[in-house]
Amino acid sequence: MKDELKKLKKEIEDVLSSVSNSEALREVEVAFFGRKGKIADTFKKIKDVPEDMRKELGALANELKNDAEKTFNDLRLKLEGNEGTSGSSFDMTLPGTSTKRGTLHPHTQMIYALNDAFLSLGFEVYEGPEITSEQYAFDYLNFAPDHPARESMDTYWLTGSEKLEGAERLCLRPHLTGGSVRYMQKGKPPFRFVYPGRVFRSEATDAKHERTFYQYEALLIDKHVPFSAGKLMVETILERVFGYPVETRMRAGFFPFVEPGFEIDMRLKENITGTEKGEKLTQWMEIMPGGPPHPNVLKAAGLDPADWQGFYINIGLDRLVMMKHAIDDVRFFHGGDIRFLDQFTRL
Amino acid sequence: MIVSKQWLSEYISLPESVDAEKLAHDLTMATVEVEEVIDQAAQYDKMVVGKIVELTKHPNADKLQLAHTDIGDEKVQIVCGGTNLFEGMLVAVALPGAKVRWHGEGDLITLEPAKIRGEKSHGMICASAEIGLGDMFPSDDEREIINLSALNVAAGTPIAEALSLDDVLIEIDNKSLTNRPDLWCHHGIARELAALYDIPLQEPKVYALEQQRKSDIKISIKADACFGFNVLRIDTDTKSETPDWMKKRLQACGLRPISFAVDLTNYVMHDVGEPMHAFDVDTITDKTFVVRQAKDGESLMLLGNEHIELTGRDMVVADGKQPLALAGVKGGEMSGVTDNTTSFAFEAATFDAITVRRMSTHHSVRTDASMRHEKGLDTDRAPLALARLAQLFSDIDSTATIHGFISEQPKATEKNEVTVTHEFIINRIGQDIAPEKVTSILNKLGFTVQEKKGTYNITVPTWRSTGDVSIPEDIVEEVARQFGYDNLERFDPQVTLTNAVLQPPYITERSIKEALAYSTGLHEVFSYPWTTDEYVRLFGFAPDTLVGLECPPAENQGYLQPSLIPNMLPILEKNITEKSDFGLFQVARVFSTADDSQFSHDGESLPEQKKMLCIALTSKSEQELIRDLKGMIDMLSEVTGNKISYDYTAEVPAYFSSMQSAKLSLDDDSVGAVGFLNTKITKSMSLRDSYACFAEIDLDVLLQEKVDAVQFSPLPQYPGTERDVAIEVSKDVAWKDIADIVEHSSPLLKTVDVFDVYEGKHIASDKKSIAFRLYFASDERTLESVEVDDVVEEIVHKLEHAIGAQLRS
Repeated sequence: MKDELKKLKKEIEDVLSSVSNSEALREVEVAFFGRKGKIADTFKKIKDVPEDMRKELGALANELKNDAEKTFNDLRLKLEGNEGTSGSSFDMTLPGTSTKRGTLHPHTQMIYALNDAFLSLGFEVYEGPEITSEQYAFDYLNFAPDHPARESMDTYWLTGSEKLEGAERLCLRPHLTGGSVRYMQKGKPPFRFVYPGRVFRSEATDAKHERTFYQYEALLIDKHVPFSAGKLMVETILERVFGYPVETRMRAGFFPFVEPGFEIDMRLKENITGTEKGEKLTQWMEIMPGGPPHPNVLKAAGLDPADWQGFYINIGLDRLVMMKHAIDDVRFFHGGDIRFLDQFTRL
Repeated sequence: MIVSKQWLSEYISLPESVDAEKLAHDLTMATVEVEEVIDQAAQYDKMVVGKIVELTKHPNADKLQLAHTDIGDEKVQIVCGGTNLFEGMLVAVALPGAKVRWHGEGDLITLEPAKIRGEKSHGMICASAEIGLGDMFPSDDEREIINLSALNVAAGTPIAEALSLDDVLIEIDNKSLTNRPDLWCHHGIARELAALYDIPLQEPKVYALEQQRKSDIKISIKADACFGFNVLRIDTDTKSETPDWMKKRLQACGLRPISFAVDLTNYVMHDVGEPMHAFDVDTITDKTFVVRQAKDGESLMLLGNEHIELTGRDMVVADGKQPLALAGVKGGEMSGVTDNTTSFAFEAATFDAITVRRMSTHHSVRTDASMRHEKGLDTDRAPLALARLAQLFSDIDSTATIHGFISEQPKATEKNEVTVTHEFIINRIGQDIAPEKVTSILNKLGFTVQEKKGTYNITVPTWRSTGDVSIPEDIVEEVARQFGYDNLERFDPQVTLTNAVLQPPYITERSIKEALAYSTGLHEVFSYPWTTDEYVRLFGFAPDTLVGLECPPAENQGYLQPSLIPNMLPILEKNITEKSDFGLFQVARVFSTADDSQFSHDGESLPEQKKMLCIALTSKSEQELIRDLKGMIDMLSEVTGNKISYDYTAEVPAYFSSMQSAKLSLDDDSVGAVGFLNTKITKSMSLRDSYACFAEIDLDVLLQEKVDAVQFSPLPQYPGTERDVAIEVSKDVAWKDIADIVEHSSPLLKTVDVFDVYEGKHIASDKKSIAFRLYFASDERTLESVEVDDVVEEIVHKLEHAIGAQLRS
């Protein structure tokens, strides 16, 4: 009989430990704790044993019953009211079904983020034509006729205008800067605007060079803009891109459309990725040209250089996006490979 | 350009605190970009002269030997593959720890003690290219070892000491020198540094040359692009060698010593910036130099035996008979100096920069001379260079007869005058700088300054007057960069606040893109603006409506895209190998020769460049595909507030299938098309067993439409009721035929939604089943079930009559 009790105790423990929902628990209740349950049966059997053993067995059976009831009640408290709606085949660990999510091109995301930053500073977002004329691409930007930079831009000229010049000589824009003159010609100063867009240069492509790439230009024209004021624009861009303060410096550079011309360098204060690639970002690197528009550019835009000053910057977006996301080949941007694009679920 | 620190020391004594690194930094910040600083002593660290004591065969390799080499304090074994080794030879030994370039290529490698084919090698015996001595010891054979036996030095002497390689070389990015012709020489850089560090500048030591009025050499300038021409004649019977110190400096700057006279001209060019040429007087017909345009048909054999055909656009230096040199670019073979020359004519001339650049580009001949001439040199520099050359010549050859020089300067460089106020300068810089400081900075750079009541009258030196400094802003730059951009305090711009600019097109375009990417699961792609000739033919674009490129990226990519669809095809084909079911979109411009009405300004007439949106979807089900795509277009209607409607019968571009497409319209304006492409194009695509459909939408039209704000409609007061209807119709019945009947059946019917289309084995083979949900409601009352049933019955009845539909139970 003692063995029988031990066996029952073990049986109850096993059954209860395998119960995972209240339905199963109710079945256990009936089978063991009900009036016709196994525990009641056992008490009935104790009545039949000789009197001298009855007391000891009775105590043991009571202990068993109390323990089992306690375990049972604890389990009931845990299960009841917490089981949701599913049946026993519910599996919380199955993976989530993917939502219908696409991606914006990383450049587009970067442009929008920068636009938001500049819009908050009261800048307008401008967009000009991709086919432009020599007049806007070079003449208005103070490139002297026959200036070597006209050739070094490796401009894509259009057929049909070979023998023409100025407004009639057409090309795919080799940079955005000429478009800024368009913008200013049509408005009234002061000006604050940004100008994102793609530009075109005829050159061999490799991991670092593309024929079609993106620039982001910003221009501020007002009554009193000493060139040290340009730092605000530079830092607005870089801090938005990298997410925290970036060290910058301005040094002598030469570009026909700004006077004085600057090369603007940056370096990160810390290695953001902890990698060798990240380490490179903590060294000074040339990141963009900038400077006050040359008086001849202001004149072309219809402004009197005696009254108006400004600061211009133009940054290559491809390189920024590559640095931010550790992308090692610029050709991915025009490759249209979803395996690449799908990674940019955020900036 | 390479600048030697030792050479600079002839003109300035740099302060002790300025080491190579600081020099590079300061030059970069204020003047020109320093690309690299090479400390020769560091470069030749752990390299010594070794003496080969004994040569034995390498036991395991035929082409290698064991060189037992004395390196001063010990003898070591070095494995070497050199072909010219001999016992007793003095060689350059790179010991473990030295940095060398294997076979003269690639990155520098740090040597370690090694075993080569089982034999110990304590470093290596070097060929010239391996340790950057290719210029000093030219060799075509990479297995030829540098032979230092001619040196009178003991084994163990450091290589840097043995070869006097103790200079610091500063490599400057030529691009950053484009606007500074005065900086293409050591004296020019020294002047800049003297101003930067406020230290004295020595002027070049020159011979007191006199200008000769009478000479048997004549100059005749007949070309407008020649601003000045000067000749110095020197006669000597002595055959001089270029002194070692001069060779060393030339080599340091990357020049190969050639002969005494040529080395002198190169030296002076790098010293004071004037390119020069040495002629043998005895080869000059009539002893006359004529600077003239070349005649068509003339030709010239340049130094280095390079033959060029001349045209009337070329300018040459000729004698009484023929061209001697391509002016400002390169001399000719015939008139050059030789070992037998005893009478030298050194020419220093000034030419128009653009003319020289054009000739250099046209003939693809780029030289140190042309690089300098095309930046725009001043005419004062030429006589200075001749006097400098005369000094050096006479220092080396005291027997030489230095004649005076003859000179024609028809267009002498004039000094620019600039007037600028102090207020203007500090206003631009944004910081007060003392007037004395302004004057002192300018004086140091060679400007003459007269200050009166806050106004500076400035005379620009000739060497800065050829284009670089001419307006007040240029003066601001000189002051600011010498003051130090690093020293400028930050100044946040003070602006006039203006009205916020409304930008509906930008905002709507962004909403469209974000909706397509984030609500419909499309990926945004970029592609090039040009298309291929194959696509032009396949899509049937008329070439005369296309915009062409003069120098296309590839031979068959000469046209700009008139539609975004062609460039989507390769992208689809590439991705289809990974996925069968995906969508892409692109927003970009398309181009055509039609007139542009958006951008042309100020005399321009640009081609049309419309901004388009292209969507491409792929899937294995044709019908699902087009419904998905139309759903996206409907979503664009909702996002933009412009109702885009479908016209299934109107004409679409011919590259669409006329049967499976629709024209998209906004009111009466066409905004694009949607559908499958025509059979020819579809067949050409490799999409495995998937289909692709496309939409093209003109964003210029869609974004420009003014849209009213959403106007709230009151919520219905009475509950509506739904009925599902499934009918069987002939396969050729279009949904539009059904919808036309259903939609106009009752004012109580508010919406109709198709939820199932079925063809298959549970239905006759010429039939299909369409199930749709009808939603009824009234603004006045709760509808009775019976009246709704009546309407449904009526609809079914009409469908039976009109299109032979049968209700499915």
